[in-house]
Amino acid sequence: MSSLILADGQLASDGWTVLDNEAAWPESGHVVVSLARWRELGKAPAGLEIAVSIPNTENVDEFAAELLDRPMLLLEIPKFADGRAYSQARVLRDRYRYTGQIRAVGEVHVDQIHFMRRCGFDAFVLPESQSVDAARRKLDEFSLSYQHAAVPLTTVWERRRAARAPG
Amino acid sequence: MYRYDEFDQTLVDERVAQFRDQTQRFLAGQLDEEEFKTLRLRNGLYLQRFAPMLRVSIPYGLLASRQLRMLAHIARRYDKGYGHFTTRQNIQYNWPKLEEVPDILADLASVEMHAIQTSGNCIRNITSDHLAGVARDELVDPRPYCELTRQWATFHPEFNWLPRKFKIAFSSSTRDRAATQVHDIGVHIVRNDAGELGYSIYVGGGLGRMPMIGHKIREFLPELDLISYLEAVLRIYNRLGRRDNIHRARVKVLVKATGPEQFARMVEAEWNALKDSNLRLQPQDIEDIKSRFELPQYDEAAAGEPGYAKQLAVDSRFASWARRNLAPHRVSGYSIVFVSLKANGIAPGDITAEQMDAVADLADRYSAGEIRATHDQNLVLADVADRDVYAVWQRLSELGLATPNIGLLTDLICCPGLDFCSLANASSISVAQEIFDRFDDLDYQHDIGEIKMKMSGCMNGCGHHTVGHIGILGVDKKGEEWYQITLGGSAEDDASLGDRTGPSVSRADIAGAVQKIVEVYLEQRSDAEESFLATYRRVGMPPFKARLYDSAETPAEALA
Repeated sequence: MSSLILADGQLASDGWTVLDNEAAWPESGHVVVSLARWRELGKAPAGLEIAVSIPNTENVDEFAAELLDRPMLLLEIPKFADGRAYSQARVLRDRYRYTGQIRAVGEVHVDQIHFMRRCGFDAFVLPESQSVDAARRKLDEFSLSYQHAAVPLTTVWERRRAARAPG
Repeated sequence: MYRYDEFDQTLVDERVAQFRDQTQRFLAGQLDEEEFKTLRLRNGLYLQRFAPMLRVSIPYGLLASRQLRMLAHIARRYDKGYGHFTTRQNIQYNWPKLEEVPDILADLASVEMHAIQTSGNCIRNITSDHLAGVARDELVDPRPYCELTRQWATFHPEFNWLPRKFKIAFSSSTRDRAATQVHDIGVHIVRNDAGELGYSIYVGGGLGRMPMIGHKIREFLPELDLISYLEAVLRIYNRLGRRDNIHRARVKVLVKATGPEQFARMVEAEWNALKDSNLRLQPQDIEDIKSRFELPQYDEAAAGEPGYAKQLAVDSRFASWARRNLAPHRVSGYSIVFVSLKANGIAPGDITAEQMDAVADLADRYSAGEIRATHDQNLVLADVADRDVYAVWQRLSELGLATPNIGLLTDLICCPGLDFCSLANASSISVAQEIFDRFDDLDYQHDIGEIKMKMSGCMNGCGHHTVGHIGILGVDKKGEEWYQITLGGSAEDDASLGDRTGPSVSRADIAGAVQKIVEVYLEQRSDAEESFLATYRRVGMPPFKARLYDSAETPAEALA
């Protein structure tokens, strides 16, 4: 069984159902659809909450406008050494100010979730092979960051700027 | 020397804890081989032919004496008493035990060092001119800009899982001593016509299987825009670099596929969205980093003192060393001293723990407590007063570190080859040794003059063979070691890739082939001032090819 863990380390129950491209639409509920199916549809049917799952080969500049009102976007990580989704998350947060949930799905590895979080992911579907305890420990693995990132973490450079400010 | 502040220190300490946890989980069976591999690689840890290999980062090649002593301590305590300086200004240990690597990292952290991102598909150690701060042809000291870039690259959350490794080098001088045009990004610090400081940016250079010279994608980038622009380049690469084939994954392949103009346009579009964000530097950020560099205090009286002219006249061994292993310093009364790690019988770049300690002592006594590593795999004592040069030479001679061969044929660079590396097809150290034996006569070498010979044991090109004046590449032919030769490469301002002479030659013939190439050069050069590279560019390949392949002594391989 996979587990859903949030940015604060809490386990969450997953109220979303993944809908295959061929499956019939349910009458109500929370469903995840592929970007391709979303594009066929164009808008959410009444009575459904729809989240969209996005391949890491997609250019955010080309899909952001049509998805900014979605409550959740899932960024797919087909292999844990494939870093494209990290850039997608940052662009969604920094450039498009996307405020819904960004969920990591696929080969999500506990040693990476600290960095994913800094890029703007705030929910992680951990495969069965990954330990939830380790994930909790790893979320705050580093207390500092040199880089500006999507999470409100004061950067080293900002701390230095603050330290030299008068008063 | 850059001194860490509390933030820099906290981050390396937290890295030690992180890696200790990862190692323990691996040893306890909670991480599988593949997962641990990609994690340990971001800490410079390879599992090699005989043992793990650990690569320690030396940002822009600069070491304090206490850091070099720690490297000696690590060599003694965790390894077999020596280390190996690499072509990217780092040091490698070939025999550490996996379970002890976290302790090594803790020792490194105690002297403001680490092994962060020394391998893996991430942004690697930032390299620069080994004469930074002391060269006469320098515009500004590039090291504060390198340090800013190091900090930006360290644990960058977005760029830790790139298609392939990513190398950045800085140069700020008339003569490029950092091989910037064969890096993924080469940064040249320049002034524009208005006198403002900024950068020219080159992208897509690289060696390995598809050697390429970098393309200039921006003529002038203003000083405060460095980080936002680098971020734009890396984001384009992270998004569009190929991930289907490891041999097509470097940014040079992307730049070639799009064309440099289109690549530049994509970067420019991304940068336009980033340049006014908080990635834009403040002038004080740069001043802050500069203020953390402790710079040598020069003695104004040094210029008026007698230097080493008297000893030059009476000691011919010293004079021969001074001719090759000294360089002029920007401050009069001082010299730059090269410490040769290319003695006969030693693998190029190797140094023992005792030698490291002794060089650290020399640095403390005579050279502002600092040492630099060069990308030619030598060391530099950059701030020696002329009055001390003779004493430094005497001590280096006792240590076996005064071979007067800087820039000459036996100052060759070389990867570890088949002796240590699991990727290699052919040995390189033993070939280096044979070449050393053939050219051991220093007068003969001095007569030949400057030749950069570079050798790699496989196509990955860690020995930079494609930009050697003479390049040698080990190849595997049905289980036998053969060697391809290239001529005319250069990694400096006139960067060029070497041309293949023709079919590869056998292990038995490679040293003889180098000798023939040198003989042809000596016959063809217009006078003793015309360098090997200049001669080759003038006369071209035919005379070299004729000598190499016409003789029965060098049976060429039948199929090229």
